[in-house]
Amino acid sequence: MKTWNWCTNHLLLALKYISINMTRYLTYAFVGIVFIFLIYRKMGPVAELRRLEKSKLLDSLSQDFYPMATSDLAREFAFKKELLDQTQSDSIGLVINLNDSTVSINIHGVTLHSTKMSALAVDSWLTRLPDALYLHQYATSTSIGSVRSTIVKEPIVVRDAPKDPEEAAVNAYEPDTLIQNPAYLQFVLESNLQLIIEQDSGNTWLETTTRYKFFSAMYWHEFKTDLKGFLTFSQPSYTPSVRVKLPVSDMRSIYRALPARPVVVVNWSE
Amino acid sequence: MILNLFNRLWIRLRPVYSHYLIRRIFIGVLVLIALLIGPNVIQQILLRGTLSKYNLVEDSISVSAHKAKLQAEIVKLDKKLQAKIPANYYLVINTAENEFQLYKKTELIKQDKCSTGSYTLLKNGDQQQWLFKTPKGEFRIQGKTTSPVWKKPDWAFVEAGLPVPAANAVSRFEYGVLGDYALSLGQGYLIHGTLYQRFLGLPVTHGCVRLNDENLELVYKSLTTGSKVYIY
Repeated sequence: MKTWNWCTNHLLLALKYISINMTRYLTYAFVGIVFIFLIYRKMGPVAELRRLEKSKLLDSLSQDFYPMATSDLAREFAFKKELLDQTQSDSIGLVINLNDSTVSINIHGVTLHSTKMSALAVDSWLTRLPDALYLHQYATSTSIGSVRSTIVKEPIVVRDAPKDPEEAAVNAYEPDTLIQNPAYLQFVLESNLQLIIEQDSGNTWLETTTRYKFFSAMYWHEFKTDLKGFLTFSQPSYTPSVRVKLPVSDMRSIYRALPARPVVVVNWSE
Repeated sequence: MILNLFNRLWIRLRPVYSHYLIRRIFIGVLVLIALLIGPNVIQQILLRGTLSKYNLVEDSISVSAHKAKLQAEIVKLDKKLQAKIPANYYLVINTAENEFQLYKKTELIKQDKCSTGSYTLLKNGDQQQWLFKTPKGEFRIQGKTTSPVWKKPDWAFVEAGLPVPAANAVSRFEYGVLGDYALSLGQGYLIHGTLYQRFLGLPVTHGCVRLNDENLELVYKSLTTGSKVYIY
């Protein structure tokens, strides 16, 4: 009995010791994994830069065509060349010019609608990008790969045909386009650039909650993508972003005017 | 000086730091700072390393030659872009805001309200449906008429809860409802006037573009057959 008590006491002590150490080791392991994951996330821009370098080496045309030391002119030239190319398209195209802070839509060289940005934020990664890589990746026109929006593109209202004139007279309705939701848009371009367009007012409760939902969904999606990449040991991804604020009516006009896959031209200088 | 300051700080902090809980919190804060700053520092070091090789100094003569060439090319491109804008009158219609602008080259002649498609999808059982939407893109004026007569299509009867008459029945023709003028955009879409002037500025039409009498007259007189109309 004495031996039994001694054994159980020592076993319990050993278990307690192991559990204390286990908790400590698990904490260290968790902190370590979080640290590695954070480093993994931060390696996205570096990996993207190296990917651009690799693809640029394959594209000898852009190296020959653009002189490197005339930064602003080379960028302006590339922008105007793309605008001219955009005129060949039969659908409405989007032009984001960060130099004069305008967003416009064009068709066949005619500007249909243009609006001034009230605020603008460009990722520092983009502003630090050398001309050679900028001209290779972002100076050419691209199209929109995916869209996320808080407003509908076509506010279609379904109505059933009335059975008689009396029912038709009762069926008077308010057009749905008058119901205006707060507008937040995210365009992910095929050149791996995301354009985030926000409405420039945002003080009401509805606007604040819509904004919060929109951005939390966006960041959650980014986190999930990174976590999936981390767990599957794939290269970290990174999509640089340009965030602009526009008057809400202009946002609606531009968004509703764009076809499913519009041609997009983006321009900025260093 | 700085070392001395740190030394004095350490002498003061040591008794506090020796406390178990304080030590834990201190370590926790340090780990948190390392988690927040560490990855950023590593990222910046790697980015700088990759970007540093692009800071090249080029020969000033070749740069000036490049600049002159580029400037000449930009002027050429500007001219080509300018040439894309119609030289005569053209109309731009914003369906989201229900506004129109009449331009001559780059000069804005008139801007005012109009009415465009309501985006209503009218369903007549399972067999028929119509979407009342103004088409978007570039159009040309196909024809112009004065005192137009509206030949009501089937949906006009379905929408009013009336039986659909024969193709050329008298009840299909309505006089005076389209205003004094109509300009055809093709495929049955018109720019015309309206009796319902209070709805101008609202999306209430079946796909046509409605203007008030004064604007309709101006547009009718300015645009010719073949003039461009841009709808977005």
